[in-house]
Amino acid sequence: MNSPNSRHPPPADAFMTRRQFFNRSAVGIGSAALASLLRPSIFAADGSGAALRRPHFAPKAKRVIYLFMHGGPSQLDLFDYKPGLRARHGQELPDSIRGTQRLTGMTSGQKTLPITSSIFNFTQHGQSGAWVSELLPHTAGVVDDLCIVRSLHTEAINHDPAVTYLQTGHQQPGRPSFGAWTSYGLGSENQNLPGFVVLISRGSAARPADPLYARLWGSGFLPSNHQGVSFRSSGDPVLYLSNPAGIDAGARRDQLDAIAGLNRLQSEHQLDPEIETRIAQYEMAFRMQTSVPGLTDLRNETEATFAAYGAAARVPGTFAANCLLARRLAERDVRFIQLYHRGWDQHYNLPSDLRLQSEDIDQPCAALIRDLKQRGLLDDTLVIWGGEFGRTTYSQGKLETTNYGRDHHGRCFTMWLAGGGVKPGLYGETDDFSYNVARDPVHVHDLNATLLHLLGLDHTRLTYRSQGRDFRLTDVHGEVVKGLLA
Amino acid sequence: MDGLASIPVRVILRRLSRFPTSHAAVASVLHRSARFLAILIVILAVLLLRGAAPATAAPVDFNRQVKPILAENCFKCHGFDEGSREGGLRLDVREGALHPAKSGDTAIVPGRPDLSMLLTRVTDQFDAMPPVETGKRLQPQEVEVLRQWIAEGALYATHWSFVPPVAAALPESRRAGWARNAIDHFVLARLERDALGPQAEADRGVLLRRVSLDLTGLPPSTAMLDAFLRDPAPDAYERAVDRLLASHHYGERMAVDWLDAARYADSNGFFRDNTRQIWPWRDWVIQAFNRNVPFDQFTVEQLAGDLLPDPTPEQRIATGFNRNHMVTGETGIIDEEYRVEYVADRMETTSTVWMGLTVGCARCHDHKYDPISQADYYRLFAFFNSSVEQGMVSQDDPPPVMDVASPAQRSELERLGGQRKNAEVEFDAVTTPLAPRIAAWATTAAGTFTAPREKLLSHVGFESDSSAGTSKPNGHLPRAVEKGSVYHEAGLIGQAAGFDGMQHLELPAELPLVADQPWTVGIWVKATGSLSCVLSKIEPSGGRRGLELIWQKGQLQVNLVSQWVVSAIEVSTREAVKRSDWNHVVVSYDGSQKAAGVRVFIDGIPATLTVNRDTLAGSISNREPVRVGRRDSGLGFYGQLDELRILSRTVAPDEARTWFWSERLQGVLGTAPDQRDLRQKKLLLDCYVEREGDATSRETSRRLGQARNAEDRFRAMLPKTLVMQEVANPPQTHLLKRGQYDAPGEVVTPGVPGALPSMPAAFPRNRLGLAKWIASPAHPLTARVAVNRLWQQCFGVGLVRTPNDFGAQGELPTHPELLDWLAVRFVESGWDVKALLRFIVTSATYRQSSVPTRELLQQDPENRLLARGPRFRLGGEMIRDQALAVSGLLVDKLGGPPVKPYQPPGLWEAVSYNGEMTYQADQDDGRWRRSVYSYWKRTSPPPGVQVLDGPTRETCVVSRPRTNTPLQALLMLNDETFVEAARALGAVAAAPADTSREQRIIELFRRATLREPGRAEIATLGGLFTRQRERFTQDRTSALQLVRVGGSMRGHEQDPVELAAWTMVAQAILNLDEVVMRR
Repeated sequence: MNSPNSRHPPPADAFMTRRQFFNRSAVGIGSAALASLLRPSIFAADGSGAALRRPHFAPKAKRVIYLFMHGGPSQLDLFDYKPGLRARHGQELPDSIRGTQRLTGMTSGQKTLPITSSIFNFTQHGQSGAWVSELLPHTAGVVDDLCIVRSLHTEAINHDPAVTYLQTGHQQPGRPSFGAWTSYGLGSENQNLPGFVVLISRGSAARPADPLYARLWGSGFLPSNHQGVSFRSSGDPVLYLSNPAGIDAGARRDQLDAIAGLNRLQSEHQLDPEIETRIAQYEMAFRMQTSVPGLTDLRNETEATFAAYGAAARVPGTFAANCLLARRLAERDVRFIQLYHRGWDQHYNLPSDLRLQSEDIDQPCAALIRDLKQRGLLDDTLVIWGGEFGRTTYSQGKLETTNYGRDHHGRCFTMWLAGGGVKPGLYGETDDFSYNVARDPVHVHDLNATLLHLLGLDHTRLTYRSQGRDFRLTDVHGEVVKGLLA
Repeated sequence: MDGLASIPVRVILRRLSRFPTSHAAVASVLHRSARFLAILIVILAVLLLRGAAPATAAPVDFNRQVKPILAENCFKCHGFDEGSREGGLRLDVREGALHPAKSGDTAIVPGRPDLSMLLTRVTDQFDAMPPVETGKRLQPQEVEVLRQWIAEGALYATHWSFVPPVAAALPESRRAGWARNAIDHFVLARLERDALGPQAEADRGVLLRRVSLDLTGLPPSTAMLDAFLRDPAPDAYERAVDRLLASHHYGERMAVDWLDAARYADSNGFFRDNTRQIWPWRDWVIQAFNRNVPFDQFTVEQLAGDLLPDPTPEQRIATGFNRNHMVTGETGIIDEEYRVEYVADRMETTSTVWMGLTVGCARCHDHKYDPISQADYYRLFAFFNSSVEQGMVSQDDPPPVMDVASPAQRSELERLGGQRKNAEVEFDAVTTPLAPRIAAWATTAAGTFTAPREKLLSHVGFESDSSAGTSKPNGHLPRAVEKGSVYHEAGLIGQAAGFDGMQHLELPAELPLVADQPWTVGIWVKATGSLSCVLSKIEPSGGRRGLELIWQKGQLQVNLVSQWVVSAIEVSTREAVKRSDWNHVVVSYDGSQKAAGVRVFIDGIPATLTVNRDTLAGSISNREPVRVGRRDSGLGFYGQLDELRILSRTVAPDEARTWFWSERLQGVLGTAPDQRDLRQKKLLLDCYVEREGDATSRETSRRLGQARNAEDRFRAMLPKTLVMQEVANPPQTHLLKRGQYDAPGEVVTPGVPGALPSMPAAFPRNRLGLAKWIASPAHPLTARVAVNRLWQQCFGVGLVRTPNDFGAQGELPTHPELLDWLAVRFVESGWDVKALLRFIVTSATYRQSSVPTRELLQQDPENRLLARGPRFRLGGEMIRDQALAVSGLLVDKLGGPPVKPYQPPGLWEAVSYNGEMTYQADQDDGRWRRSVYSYWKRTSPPPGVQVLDGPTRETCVVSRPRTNTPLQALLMLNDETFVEAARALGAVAAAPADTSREQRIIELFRRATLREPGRAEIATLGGLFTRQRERFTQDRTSALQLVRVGGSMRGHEQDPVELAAWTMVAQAILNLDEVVMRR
């Protein structure tokens, strides 16, 4: 909870609901005082954009698993099949297609922009007949659960602004992340875990993994308890979770009881509801010390599960292990589970590196979908797969027989959605070069508006006032894409 | 009274409006009747309301009562922004509101609420304003305010914060005897309006702790407390305040808030988030606060110190304020896009920090709420648009930077500069007469030295021609293959290869760069990054067998590895290599498998090598290609490389020098004598003197070289800091359409917003003029905004609770007369910050107990009326510093480079490029310095401060939220810093002394809380101690583990069982609510 002194509207559920807080804080405060604390201008939703008590309308999805492919996976080599390029392989990209699109500094100086057909084979799968690259055989197996959107587009052409854009609705830092908005809007449903969890894995590509930034799961100008909590694969899964050497759970319990007892004495005297909140948060911390290790301990998962997710799921910190962890977090009603898999920036050596990256993610993604489905969780869990932009139809650097690279490309790229409220199938098309969107464009803001819609949130009404303005995730843009909704 | 009659009309109207024009006439008639009906209904409503509610006695105040309603509900579509104005109606100015709108209706008819369409529309049941989509709806009492205001004549007033403050006479109050200074009169008058009274003064211990934390960020020691409690003088408190203001900790505390506002960090922020040096600016801030630099001077020096006449080094350092923004080095970004972002960041931060203006809204369109047009935005932008800087920053410290020298260092620099000048004069005297001889020599010199050809394995010239990067293709030499886009840029000879971390070239794996045969690699290096690989032939994993040549901040490191760590040669050059300039680097190895067998020549001169490892035993051969410009996958090179030669033999020093000259002079000798520039002439002269000169000229040359080296070496050692610097010819500033860097509109000149006082003609139209304008006593915002932040520091919240927004959307001050009074006095005092703080903290208002009565808590839970003292949770830095202070660990040292306290492992690796950045905690005092000195990396800020609501320092923040979460509990229970502090505090109690357990508990408790514990508290802690001592007696291992946490030796000599039990007690105390709160 916020301090009553704070000018920031308090969160809906800062791990503990307000109701609980007031139930407990009966100690030391008269009920009249409580009533006044409940005054709308302090705690409850008001027009200035305080947290909602409930969604704007009935949600289709209660939680999100966001599989972020950091670096920009090549749509041309994974989902956006362009057989016509084979005949044009090596030819110059026509100016009519390229238009006035700005290029990054990495290829703007390149003398030729040779069209580069994918080296990989594509085949059709499922009822939808979706073309999927040979790099993703497992994903191809669940293709009828996915809505493959090939018409995403963004204005950003470099990693830092593009990732920041997709995740915060703005290319420059300072805005809250998607997960923080969700936590702010809907709160948490789990009393023992944070509402917004971040899991990071590093890809197998030889290419260096691009950096991440704390802002991607930051709360921007929202109250800071909405920021994502990064779970770590080594050491404490949550920072400072473990007791120091020499203090076991019993000793800690003893100590916490002493702290709570002393705090309660003060509570009588100070008439400050903040004290009861603090006592409650120390209790919650104690519970997290048990619940989090239980959560991250995969030992009691079955052999069948490991077989499904792949052997890598046994290795902490891999994408496969994180997918399995994501399912466990979803089971525990964690609201927003954000995965980052790094290493998708294939400027060169794409054929070998993209294969490695795809091997990292293909089986776990498919297993996650099946697993959620089998457990009845897919209906109200929204799964999102994709990166910050796509890649160019022309080769960066020299186009060789068996080797090429692709530069960043924001004009079209592919993501897939699955689960809660999403209509499976294919959405949107690109031109013959996978350079421009040809049909049903979906802008970054449209995507975010749609995702919020599935969560029961009207993106124009989920606002927060800062710097004299009511801010939202979609800035002043975005349309819910009806065609993506079931 | 629902206007039943209007329902069908409205419905019909709405339907008709969808019809094509043939029905327009019908619609128009109906529309008019609807309006008429609606007006009738409103008149009725107004009459009814009048009957129900007694007229308010006092006249309505536009700024306080009316404007917030209009701003919240109307201005977005009927405000200052012409672009989004609907129906031709403007409500933010009186002329607009009184003028008939496009519909023909008049929103406001002064004195005639009955005729004012504004009231009609906001009360309309079916088509209300604001439109239903906004989710906004006026409350009946708000409508009543508007009605009364219109009835009273609908007078507008300038927005309150744009009117210069005036110090009102002190208000009368019944309990004036309570007041200690003017603040209290204003507060009392307000309290008495609500029939409230103030609380009694806080206990002395509480008060001393409160004011110590507010002014110095540290709690008082128990000795300070005891002295204060013993001091019977009536001004004991005031003198304690004076001592705190005089403490150097004052500046450290003040700096924390200022660093948030200035978005200070020790890293560049975007993408790779490289390190930067700007801590001398941070130290300048601390010193400026400690010296109590007047706030106007503090302002001018930070905004425009570089433009003051003959600026001192300190005044230039101060301009770092506007260099604290983030910069990017991400490959491929568009330079201008980011340069524009930096200018915008600078301007918006300045506007927020000094004027509480949210100008950012006007970047893409006119401000919707405040009178700031898009043109105003770019006029302010123009002041900041003339800096020497680029959008793409490839080095750590983005230029412009300055060397920061202490007075002693400055005089040493002067001495060295003098020596160098003398040596130059001497050299010139000797060499000037040589000119004719040099000219003659130069005609034949080209043939006298050449680059090595014997046993040449490879030569890469990095030309862009079709031979894929190989110049002068020589039939039997292998070609280099480009991986990624290598830039071809003018180089030392022909073209060079340009790198920005993303590309490299490969040579075949067969080149025999092996352990048991001699070889030599020579290459020209012009590096702009901080850490990158020049050339490698190394395995990406396992034993990392192979060879690598790494550039690291001016040093060259050569590694020959058979198995990393156990079997390798690792040497690095001691002298710094020139950054951003060509250096000829030759690594020559004799096949001996000894570090002594490695020689490095820089520009043909043997470099002194530091041997870090000399354990090579075994092969370094591998199947990896030779990569030029990259290690295995990471450490991509930044800068240029040219003329690579690989030989299968060693080179002798003479030959290395000849090699250097041959390539260095190639361009010079190819240029006609009269076309040669100064630098080329100098090269020729140096070469001639070295190779053909007599003893005298060689000796003077040697002395000059020494003098130059000494000066350069000394300069390289000095800290640097980022500063502002203007370009000679500032570019024109354009309004940018939609705020986009590539959509320039009309040209604008530097200027200030029309709604604010104009800039005196005498002020220059540059940053200095802007700074003087901001800091002038006539500016209505500057003093108010500054006073408000200082108030916030002492009360947790400002008198204006939106310290970043003093505009129409911001909150109104809770005590407007008080704010203005303080602002006026602040200016009159000569912008004396310490005096203002002293005034605030010595007021009776500040000194009140923070404990409310139940009634008060009910009536004013947020303490807006100040009927009690302020209470709030401490910030992250303060909580950590307090733990260090009360445990005696705090190392009290002012200023200097950033320090690295404990941090859980893996945080930097998780986010950094390729995971290659690792946090290494300091091994010395850095672990126990105040938090303001902790290294701040923007992509992974200090985790403890983050958990306690710290910002990322990516953008300007003038107030932090305060949350209460379980992660905070985990931090304070388990972080090494806090556990170590508990152990050090426990050691105080565990120390053998002739005191009882009870006295020891009291001592610990008092240190942390500054009060005596009660019986129940002592009993609780005593019980904890007894049980824990029992447990540790049973489990001595646990005791030993606990008392060894952290690097401090405190208590290591004590009995671990006693100490561990006391550590548990101390930890409980440090986690008490009253320790993390300040009440």
